[in-house]
This record gives sequence, C-alpha cells and structure tokens, in this order.
Amino acid sequence: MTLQRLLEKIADQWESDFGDLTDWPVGTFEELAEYIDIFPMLLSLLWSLTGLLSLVHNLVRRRRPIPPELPGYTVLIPFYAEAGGALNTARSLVGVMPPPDRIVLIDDGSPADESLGAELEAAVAAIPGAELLRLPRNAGKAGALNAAFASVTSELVVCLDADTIVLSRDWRVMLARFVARPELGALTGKIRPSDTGSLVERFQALDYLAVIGLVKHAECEWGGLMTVSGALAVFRREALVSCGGWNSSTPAEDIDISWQLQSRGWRLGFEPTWVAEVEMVPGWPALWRQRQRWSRGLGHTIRDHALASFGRVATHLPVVFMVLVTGGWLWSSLVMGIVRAFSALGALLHGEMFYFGALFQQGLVYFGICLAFFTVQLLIAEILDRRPGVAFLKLLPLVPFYPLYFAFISLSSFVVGFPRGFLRLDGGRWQRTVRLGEVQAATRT
Amino acid sequence: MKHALSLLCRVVLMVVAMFAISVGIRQILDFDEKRPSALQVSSHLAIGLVAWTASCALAPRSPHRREEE
Repeated sequence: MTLQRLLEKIADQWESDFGDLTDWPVGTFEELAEYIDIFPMLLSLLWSLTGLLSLVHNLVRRRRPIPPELPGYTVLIPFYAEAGGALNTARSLVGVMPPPDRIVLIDDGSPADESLGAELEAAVAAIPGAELLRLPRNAGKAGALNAAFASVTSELVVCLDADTIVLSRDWRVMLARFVARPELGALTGKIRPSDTGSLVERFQALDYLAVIGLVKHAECEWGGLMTVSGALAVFRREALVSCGGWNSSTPAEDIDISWQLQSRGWRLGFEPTWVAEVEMVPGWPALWRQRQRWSRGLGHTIRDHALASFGRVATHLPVVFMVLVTGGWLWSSLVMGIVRAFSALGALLHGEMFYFGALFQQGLVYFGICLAFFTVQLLIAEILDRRPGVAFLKLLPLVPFYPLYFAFISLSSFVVGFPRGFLRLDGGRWQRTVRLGEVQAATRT
Repeated sequence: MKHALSLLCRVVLMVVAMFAISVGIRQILDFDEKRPSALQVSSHLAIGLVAWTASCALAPRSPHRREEE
C-alpha cells in the first residue's frame, strides 16, 4: 500500500468516525458509549506504550558519573501509635550509603498507652543519627512533617511512612539526580509489597505492579507525576519552602504537594532503583477506606490546584488532563452501566430473551479483549520492574478477577470519596490506614 | 499570547492522540468483513503516540533550571 493510499484511508476513517460523533443526538450518544467502552483499553495502551518508551529512554540515556559531592539529607518518619513500625523503618536505614544527616522519628501525639515512653527513647538512641520528636498533640501526618521540617537544614528531605522498609542500600544514584537537575523538586522510588500471602494483599500487589508502578514509568515520559508516593519520597528543601510545606487540610498530602510543586515549575521524578517495601492493607474494609481517602485527597487537589496546571511553568498538564478524563470516564461508565442494566432488565421482562443473549455475548467478547490488554500491561510492568518472571506468574491468575476488584474497591471508593473531597464535605478529616494486627481505624483530625 | 497558543496546541494534540488511539482500538475490535489491515491499525496508534509525545514535549521550561544545564 502506498503512503498516499494509507493516508487517504486514515483520513476516510477519521472523517467517518467524526461524522458519526457529530450526528446528534442518537449518533453522538452511541459513539460516546463506544468510546466509554474502549477507554480502559486506550488507557492501558497509552500506559504500556509510553512505559516501553521510558524503558528505551533509560537504555539509551547516557549514564552520568556520580559526583563526588552529594547533597546531604534528613529522614522524617512520622507515626501515630505505630512506634514499633517507625523503629523498624529507622533501623532499615542503617548501612545506607551515604548515611543521612539526621533521622527524625516524629511521634504525632500517640496515646499514652501506645507511645512506649522511655523504652522508645532508648531504642531510638541505639540507632545511629536518630532522634525522637514528640508532638504534644496529634497534628495529622502533614502537621507532623511540618513540625519536624522547621528544624531541617539539609538540602534534601526524605519522607518515609512508619510501615516502609528501605531495601536499597546505595542511594547515590537517587541523590545524584538532584545534582544533575536543579529543577528537580521531588523524587519518588519504587514501592514493593512486603507480604502477598492473602488474597487482598495479592490484589494490591497486582495493583502496585501493573497500575501504580507502570503509571509512574509512563507519567515520567509525560513530563510530570500525578503523585510522589507518600511512603517513599525525597524533596528538595527549597522546593518545599516555596510551597510553605505540606498542606495539613487534605487527606492526601502527597498528591497535594506533588501538584503544588509542579505548578511552581518544579519537576518530579521517579527513580526505579530506589526501592522500599511497604506493608499491604490486610483487610477489604480497610483497603476500601484507604482508597476512599486517596479519592478524597484527589478531589481536594483537583479543586485546589487543577487550574494551576495551565500556568506558565507547569509541565504536568498531560497528567491532569488524563486524571480529569479518567474521572469523567468513571462517572459516565457508572451511569451507562446503570442504564444498560435497566434496559436489559426491561427487555427481559418483555420476554426479549434474544436481546439479553446478544448483550451477554457482546459483553463476554469485550471482557476477553480487556483482559488481553491488561495481561500485556502486566507483562510490560513486570519487564519495567527489572525482575522478570518474579510476580507475573503469581499474579496472572488474578487478572480475570481484576474487574471485580476494580468495581468493588477502586470505582466504589472513588464514587463515594471523590465528591466528598471535591465538595469539602469531610472538612479535611482523614483516617489512619489499618495495618496488620489492628482491628479498627482510629479517626483523627 | 504565546503561552495561550502553546496551551491550545498541547490540548489539541492530546485530544488528537486520544482520538487516534481510540480509532486504532476500534479497528482492532472490528470483527466484520471490512477488517482493516495491521498497517492501518498501527498507523493510528503511531499517530496517537506521536501526538501525545509532541504534546508533552511542548511543556514549558522550568524557571528553576540553570542556564548552563
């Protein structure tokens, strides 16, 4: 086929599809319904293709030598009633090269019976470079970070959650990126699940690998990140000062600070060689609450900072654009699902069994193709994870059930959480994520 | 004015990218007799990817970037 013939065919196809789309009202609705149906595949393809592009980019990128002088850093570990976890996080930093200037464990006003008192102070003193900061009152994660940040003089600030275990010993590559790129405001690392024994943990492992991890790779190619991971992130002190620290009125301070930084011209990065393990949420209700908190945080952030992505120095416009389109798709797919369910029920009640059968068959084909796309996405994510074969076979059996996980966890938590965050119906309250061994989430303000 | 034009270009490119990839996917899903060739499908996907990458490449320069970088 000649190039001219190919271009003619492409132009004909576009003209035909665009013509159908503008055929108001029936054509428009039918076409929109079709675009809504294929959107998950579009997203999967865009993530996979740009993820592969990032792989090629990394392979051909010239490796810079590590500069002799690397910036100093302070590690902040805020915790609330998780003293044991915070100690384990701090202990995982022993032997990291180069060592941190300071490690600050921030007790965010834990209840007296869970603060461990002198026992905790002795354990902290045994860790080289570690110190304990006790806040008299619970200030929330952002408040705790701000309280400790006031005394930080290092050029970089590393933030770790109290359930993060750092696996990387050599941090020089990560630190060198801040020397090479003065516009780099923050950087996040790769999160791996620590336990994948139960079903709920395995689904989260699938989510972290095939969606969250792959999206980070893809978004780096897009020029911005939706968020640095609150569990493993490093910030340039100057960049944090320019934003006035973390926003304590939002349920997801990591999304908020990410958008604020990018709106002010700072760039965010992802360093796949900087790796940490994070404890997965052990139960379905707790997982739902965690995802709902993320959705509320996203609602807050879109309301407060989405317009700033159109600013003169912001580069995260593609990320914001995709977040808004995906949000719109979630709502419209929900509405369309309800409409289709009612029309199928109506047809069934009128005895039109053939209609139901055709719909079922069509749905089955669509489902199969979606799964094929998702399997390819998982495979690419596995390649990008640089541990080919480790998780793919283990997680592959979960792929057919991922739509259920998506509907009952991701979609439902978004539908409930996002409007609450966007409309500020929650007043910025957030719930601590339940970790293993805990029964209920403690609500705090 | 220059900024507004650049923004418009980026948004248009993003919409074009999504439309092109959508057309490609719809062709993959097209099971009738007029099934398009693999070349046509991959052309749509390539147009989409190029448009998306071009949109990202048009991002403004960071004010924190030093001139010597």
